[in-house]
Amino acid sequence: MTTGHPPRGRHTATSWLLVSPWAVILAVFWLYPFAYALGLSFVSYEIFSGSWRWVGFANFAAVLANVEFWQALGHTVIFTVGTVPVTTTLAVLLALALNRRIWGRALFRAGFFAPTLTATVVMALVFLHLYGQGGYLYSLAGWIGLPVPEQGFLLSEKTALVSVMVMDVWISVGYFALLFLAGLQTIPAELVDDALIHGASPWRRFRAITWPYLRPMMLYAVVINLIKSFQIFTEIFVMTQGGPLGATTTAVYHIYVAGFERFNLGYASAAAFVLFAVIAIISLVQFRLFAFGRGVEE
Amino acid sequence: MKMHETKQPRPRRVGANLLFGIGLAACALTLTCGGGQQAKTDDGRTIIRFWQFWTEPRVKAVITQAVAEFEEENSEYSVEVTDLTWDNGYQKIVAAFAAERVPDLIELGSDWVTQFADRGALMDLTSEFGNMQMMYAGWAPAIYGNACWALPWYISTRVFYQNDDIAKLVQGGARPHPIVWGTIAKNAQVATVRKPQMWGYGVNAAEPHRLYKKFLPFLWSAGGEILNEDMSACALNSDAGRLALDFVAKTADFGIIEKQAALDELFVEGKLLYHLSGDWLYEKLKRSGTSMEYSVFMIPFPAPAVGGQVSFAGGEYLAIPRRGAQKIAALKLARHLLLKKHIFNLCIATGCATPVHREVAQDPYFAQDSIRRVFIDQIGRSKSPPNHPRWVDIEAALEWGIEQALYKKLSVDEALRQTCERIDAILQSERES
Repeated sequence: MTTGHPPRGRHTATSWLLVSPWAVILAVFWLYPFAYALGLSFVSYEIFSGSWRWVGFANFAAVLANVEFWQALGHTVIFTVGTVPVTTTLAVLLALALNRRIWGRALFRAGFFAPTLTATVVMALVFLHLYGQGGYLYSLAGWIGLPVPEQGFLLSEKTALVSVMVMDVWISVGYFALLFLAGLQTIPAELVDDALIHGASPWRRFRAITWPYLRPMMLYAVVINLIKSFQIFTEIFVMTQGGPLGATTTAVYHIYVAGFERFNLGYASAAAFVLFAVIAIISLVQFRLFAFGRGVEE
Repeated sequence: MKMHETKQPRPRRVGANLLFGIGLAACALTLTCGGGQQAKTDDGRTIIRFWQFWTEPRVKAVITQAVAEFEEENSEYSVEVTDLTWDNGYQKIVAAFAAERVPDLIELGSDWVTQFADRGALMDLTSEFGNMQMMYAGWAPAIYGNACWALPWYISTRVFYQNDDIAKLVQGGARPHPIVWGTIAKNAQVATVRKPQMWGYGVNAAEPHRLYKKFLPFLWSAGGEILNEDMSACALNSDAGRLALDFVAKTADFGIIEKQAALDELFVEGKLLYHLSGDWLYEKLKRSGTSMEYSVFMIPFPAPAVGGQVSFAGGEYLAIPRRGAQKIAALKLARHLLLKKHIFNLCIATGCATPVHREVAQDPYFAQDSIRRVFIDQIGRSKSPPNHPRWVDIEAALEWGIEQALYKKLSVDEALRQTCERIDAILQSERES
């Protein structure tokens, strides 16, 4: 008897065959560079001759002893702490607003998502001008009486990093709002209607219905945004190149300079793995925190 | 139902399928991404790979024309031109050397030649130097270890631009050029009072690879140096270094801190009294059609009868990688690109004021232009940074110190001391390596 389905063995083999291009790409463009970088972190590598010398953990020791690395990591933490909560909160509020039946909802959704579709380099170049002396944002800030640095937002060590953070929030908020909007639309309407009939307050409805449905998306959004923030690079490269006075030198930019301007590839690889460890630990903590909270309403 | 009784695939079978798939995908990847560099065209011509940075259409057209002419005159060759950008060209070049997939002819920034030569990456062109040195200028950055490693293709220097309209305003109708640094400071202070309508002086900051070029003219004019004569120690922490850094740090008080492009733009808009810049700004001013009156002058003296008028000299150089496949052909192409007519065309297109070919520099187009003449005079009194293999690192340390003083994070003395500590550490690590 035939059912029209191929035998399971052939089915599995076909699956493997279909998956293999991805496996190759993973191996060539992810696993191999990962392993290669790990190897590099234990050697002193001379890029012109391709010669290397085993140095053990010396590169890691150099990273941990380097004040500039810790400063860069500090800037990255400030960037992350300053952007992730703000972006997440604004995105949730925006998603709640866009989930209502308001006039021009589709237009607003498209509008808020548009910055995400634009290349970061393009956005960075636009903001480079907006923040400069005579730029629209600079002039506007002065006009409404905010204290503006004489040399423009990006050339003052006090405002440069904050300016990049503001831009990042503006770019990211639409994308995360869309994710939360998707989460909100999984909430059964009967559940909300039932809560309304029983006279639940908006806060009670949010806490008891909306939040539990949003939480899986929240975990995803926060972890992704956190990793993205720890890897902040393009904006820094285009807008400030780590300056002024290293005030915007983030961990990845520090690694870039060490690896691709100074060609200290062993050090750069070691610094990348230290950053990897930091991101991994923070992500794990987040998973634990969200997992801990899950038991409450279940 | 027999179908459900079908045997599970044996692991070896699955593995074989996976391996087959991986192999297939790897072949596809190799065909699309990998493969060796083709040595000849389909019609049998030898390919010369030339990497260069001129991408602006007006300038690129000159390069394309010169290359086409070369191919016409040498029908056995086909030149494959690859454009690089200043944002990542250096990284791409180093990666090419690391991967041993080098081009045959390469354009290098003047600051990079020593580093590449020191690592044994370039072909020795000392014999060419012997033949060409009388006809071409700008050899200093190409010489390292008593040998010549590159051929000068384009050289430039920095001079002071003055907005004559503002100069008249701040000097009571007169517009003489400042002879000493103090006059610059005094006039700039007067002009900056009217900010943001006008500023006295343009100060660079937060822009790697540019800031040091704005400091070195003052250091050298004051008689200072970055390294001592045998390049074994930092020489910056000196009276001359103090004088220069003190002046540069003070410019932030009577000037506007911005990036080079923004400062150029401000000058074109007529909002900047003094601006230290290169010949590209002259070209930009001409193309802008501005009605503003402006002039240029050489780097002033630190004080009456003190120091000199030394500026920064940099440029682009043609080098041949030692492991290049077509070294002879590449040299032939380099000689062709350096022909008088091509240098002339390159200079017209780029707006360069200081042609590398001495006969071109004497052409009325350059010699009879009062502004270009100042550039030509200035380049005769210009210097290049020391030819040290770790210059890229030294430059970063130097810019760190200048920024510390500009933003008043450290006193001038402390900035000099800490900068020297950093530079000495770099020199020490180079000796140890």
